[in-house]
Amino acid sequence: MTSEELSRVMERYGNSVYRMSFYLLQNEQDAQDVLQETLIRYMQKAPHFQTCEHEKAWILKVANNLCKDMLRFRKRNQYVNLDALSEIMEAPGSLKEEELVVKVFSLKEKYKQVIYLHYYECLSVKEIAAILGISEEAVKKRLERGRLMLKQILDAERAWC
Amino acid sequence: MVLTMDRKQFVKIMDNIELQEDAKQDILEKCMRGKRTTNKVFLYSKQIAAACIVGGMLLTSVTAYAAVSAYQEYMSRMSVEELEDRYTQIQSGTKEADSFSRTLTQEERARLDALKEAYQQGLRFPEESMECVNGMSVETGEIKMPVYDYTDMIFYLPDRTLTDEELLQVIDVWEKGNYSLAKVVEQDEDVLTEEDALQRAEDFMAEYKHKIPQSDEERLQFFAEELIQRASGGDFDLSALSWEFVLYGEENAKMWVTAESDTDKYSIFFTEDSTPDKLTVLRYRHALLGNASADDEDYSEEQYRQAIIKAAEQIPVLMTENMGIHTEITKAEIYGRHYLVLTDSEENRYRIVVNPQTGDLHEFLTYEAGAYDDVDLSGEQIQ
Repeated sequence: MTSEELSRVMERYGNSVYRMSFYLLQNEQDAQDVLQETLIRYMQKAPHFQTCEHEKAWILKVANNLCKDMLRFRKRNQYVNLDALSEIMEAPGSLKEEELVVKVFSLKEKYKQVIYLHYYECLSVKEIAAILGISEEAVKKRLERGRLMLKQILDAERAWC
Repeated sequence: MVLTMDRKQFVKIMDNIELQEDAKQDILEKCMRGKRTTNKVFLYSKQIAAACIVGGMLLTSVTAYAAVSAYQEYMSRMSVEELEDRYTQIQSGTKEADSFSRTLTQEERARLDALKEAYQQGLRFPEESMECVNGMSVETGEIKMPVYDYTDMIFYLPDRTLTDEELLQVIDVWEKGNYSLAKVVEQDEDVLTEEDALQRAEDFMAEYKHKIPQSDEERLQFFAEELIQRASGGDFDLSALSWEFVLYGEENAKMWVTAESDTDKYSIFFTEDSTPDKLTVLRYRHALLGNASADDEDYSEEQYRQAIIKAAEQIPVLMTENMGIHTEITKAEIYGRHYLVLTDSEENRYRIVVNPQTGDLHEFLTYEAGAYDDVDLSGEQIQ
């Protein structure tokens, strides 16, 4: 693989992988490690992709698996690391916004996965099921529970779209 | 304070997370050099790590011979005794990955990365080795110089900023550890070609992944959640549970799922057939923890009797719909004070305990026909 090709992959998917990894791991260095390892695996093992969607799904799946490995074996970041959040994110405008960020990051990992993939990456339930290797029913259930938890912890008044 | 949120706000929060251009370039350069992350958590076990390192080292030696030769020369200064000693110490570690007694600062982390690169290129090595111990008894605050504890796999660090020499010593522990793992494995294999090493690493990974695939865990959890919810009367807060998955045996293996919260512990045994619709429960156990109690003496014999009669009607439905057991129940008995024993048309028996107050399932145990025929579970027949 040429450096131009790899740069294209980084340009197109780098932030997505980094963002999802940071959301799941809450650690800048770990998120960068996941991105680097994802790219290496792309260089070594990526199949021929028919569509951009297929390519994106493959990359997010690899990154998600790496995040899970990291969470499982390192057993850290069981808490919301405020320092890590404030270092990487722009300073929130108010206490309310800051609290909002912390709450969003305090969701359990499995709910974060589906919420992020659905609401940020705009992937369908079917696509998320393929990425996470679970049934569509399980994705729907997690989305429902994740939304419920967010509503509960945020005392939300407005519905999610 | 009332917090509200919608999708736009979530997207706005996520938009803030963006990787800087220089970090992207750094990662791209590392990738093009074929450099892996320094993070060992991607490696599932010490044995896999050893096998992969052999392959990785051989590959590296082809592409970056000059850098590796200085590195190899430094490593080769280790005596056979030191190699074997480090290998043994690493194998005795109780954790999956090293950790630090305090968080490295951003500045220390940046120097660590730069020094690690210099180390691997054979440009910088520590003047002295770090002190390594087995079992650390002093408090972190008392540490004057960095010390590595093989047992807990922790680098105990002083509160002050680490010097370059001390960071190089940390790297030295990692690199010599990896080297000794690779070398000892290599020695055990007598002659190990690059092809053999890579094949061995791939086989090991493939076998491991086959045994505990991620998708199986997800599926098991989904299946278990449905079962727990149903067996607990449908109002249990599943979000409070933490999960663990274990697989036993090679052939006819069984998967064991445990889910635990502060007050409850669920333990479920599945058969190996892990296709989505063919999970079969062999055992289910719900234990109450902490202050919660299910003391047998709390309930009268009549309360148990009524609960068992009700369970004899409900449990077969649960078995069919949530436990993957499609069978015809031919007999129901009350065994002892509080057991319901069901027998199916194939002479398999199921010993069941329910909570007499709530009707929740507490225990389900399968006695397969032929395997446990000598166990007497006979009692008063109620069906």
